[in-house]
Amino acid sequence: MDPSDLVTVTPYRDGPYVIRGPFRMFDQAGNEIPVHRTAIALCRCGRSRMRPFCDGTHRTFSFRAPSDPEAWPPTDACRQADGSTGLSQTARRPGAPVPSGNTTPEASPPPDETGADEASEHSDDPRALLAVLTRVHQARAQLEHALTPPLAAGAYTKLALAEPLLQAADRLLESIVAGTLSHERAASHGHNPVGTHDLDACRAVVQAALRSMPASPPEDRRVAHLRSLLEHATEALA
Amino acid sequence: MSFVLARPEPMRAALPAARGPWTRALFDALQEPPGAAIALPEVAAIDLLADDDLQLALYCCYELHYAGLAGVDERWEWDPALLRFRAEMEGRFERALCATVPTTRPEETLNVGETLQTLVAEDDGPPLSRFAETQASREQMLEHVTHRSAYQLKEADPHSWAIPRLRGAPKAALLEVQFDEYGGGRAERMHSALFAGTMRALGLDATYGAYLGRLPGITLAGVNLMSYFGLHRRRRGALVGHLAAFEMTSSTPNRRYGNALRRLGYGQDATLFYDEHVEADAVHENIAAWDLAGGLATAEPDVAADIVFGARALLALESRWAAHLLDAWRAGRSSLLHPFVVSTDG
Repeated sequence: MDPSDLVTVTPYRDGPYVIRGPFRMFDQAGNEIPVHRTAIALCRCGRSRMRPFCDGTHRTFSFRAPSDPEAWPPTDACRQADGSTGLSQTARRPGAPVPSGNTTPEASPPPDETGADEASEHSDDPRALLAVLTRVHQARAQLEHALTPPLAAGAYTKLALAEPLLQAADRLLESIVAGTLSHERAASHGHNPVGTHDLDACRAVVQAALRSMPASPPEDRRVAHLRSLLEHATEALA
Repeated sequence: MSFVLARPEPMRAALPAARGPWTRALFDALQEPPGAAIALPEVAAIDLLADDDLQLALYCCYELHYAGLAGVDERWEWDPALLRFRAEMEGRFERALCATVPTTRPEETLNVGETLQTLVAEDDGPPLSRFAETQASREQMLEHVTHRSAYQLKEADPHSWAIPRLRGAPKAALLEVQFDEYGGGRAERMHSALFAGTMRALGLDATYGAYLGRLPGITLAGVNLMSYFGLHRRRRGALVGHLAAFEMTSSTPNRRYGNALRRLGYGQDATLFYDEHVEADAVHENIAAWDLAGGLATAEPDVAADIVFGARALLALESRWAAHLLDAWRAGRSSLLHPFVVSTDG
């Protein structure tokens, strides 16, 4: 067969697998999955709402994955790089339960504070930092998920107040992952670290987002939780 | 005259009413055969990107290159007086864009695909699609679709101007996207045809240009931006960057617009356009960002900065347009120049 007739599969960086046909798709019971176009995108982040196809959701939570193969077996350097991918993976379950806790943030500290404290004390320890980030990422993913499906207008208005927090969490996660891991990733994957954020600028964004939140305590526990985690994370970076 | 059609073709927009000195001068001229000069009005636009008069005049000048205008002599398309008149408006448009859109920094041209990802991720435009999904009324969705008709009834056409101006891999990438936009060989699957289907399902008039007279300057500016980039070969980088950013910001909002119409009780005939875009643009955004924009930056490093400019210009104008709609709706006003009187027969 002429190699140019073969189907190609391209993992796009931070995005889906693009399959260029001609090809047919079947589910495991043998039912054909209709394909309407010559090239399709298959979900790689796991959070699409029309799996197996990509619907662009990876953009809403800063999914990270290289286009070229990740190094295997991992070296010390790229174990950190894997950590950033794993971070996205751990937080991606849309149905993950919201951490239990009181509905008002000041009534009792969120259950995750131990991780934040650990990072405050050892902020130069990348593993402790990653623990904080994982929690921020999970809280962010839960909030994002709560914002996505059609909601009653009242609930939406309440949750939409957290929009600056979501953006701040994105900046924080991207900045720290880029700041702590870009050199290792650049070395192991040949990525260009141009475009990564400066940590100071990121802290300023997060603090501005926290300041822009209404003075009265947010009613939604997911909002309160994310706010609390962000506050701890910025302290850990200070 | 034999070249003036007795009856307007459905595909040609009719000239709407003039709105000010630019449209008056242009529309008066277009009533006649070409040949005479078009006097330049002496006006200082205060907010040019949202100038209802100038943006409509520019839109109509560009329309001569697409479908033509009903009752207008087709030779106007390349008439030197008209081109001079258009160039004056384009100069002002370009200066207003440069005053709004930041200059590309040198380091942003090193990896254009990555720069585009960062720009899109950091874009903090007003949450129009979220508002639509959760709160917009039927009347507001009709307005949204009406605004979009200025582009979507000729979807993909402005970016096709880039085809003869590219070579090799970026050209192949552009055509991979465009082939899909044009229905993959099936006229009824063309995205412009799907959009017309949405308009009809909503009870709107899907005739090309039917609502041109209702559209404010900021809406027309978004389409003029593509036509301006598309009709000037030197802006091919910006045109490609515009397409990449357009595709990269399309999937999730289109899912939300589809949800908005479902929430309001519309069926698949209304939502097919949006549902199709969720799936299609999830493919296109990767090809457009990495293979097309990134590929062009590699092939022609001189235009890399303009690729980034085009992406930024799109995000800036989309953001202003979204703010215009949301501001109007939150104030209880129509976002169109002439609001609909909506019947309730559904």
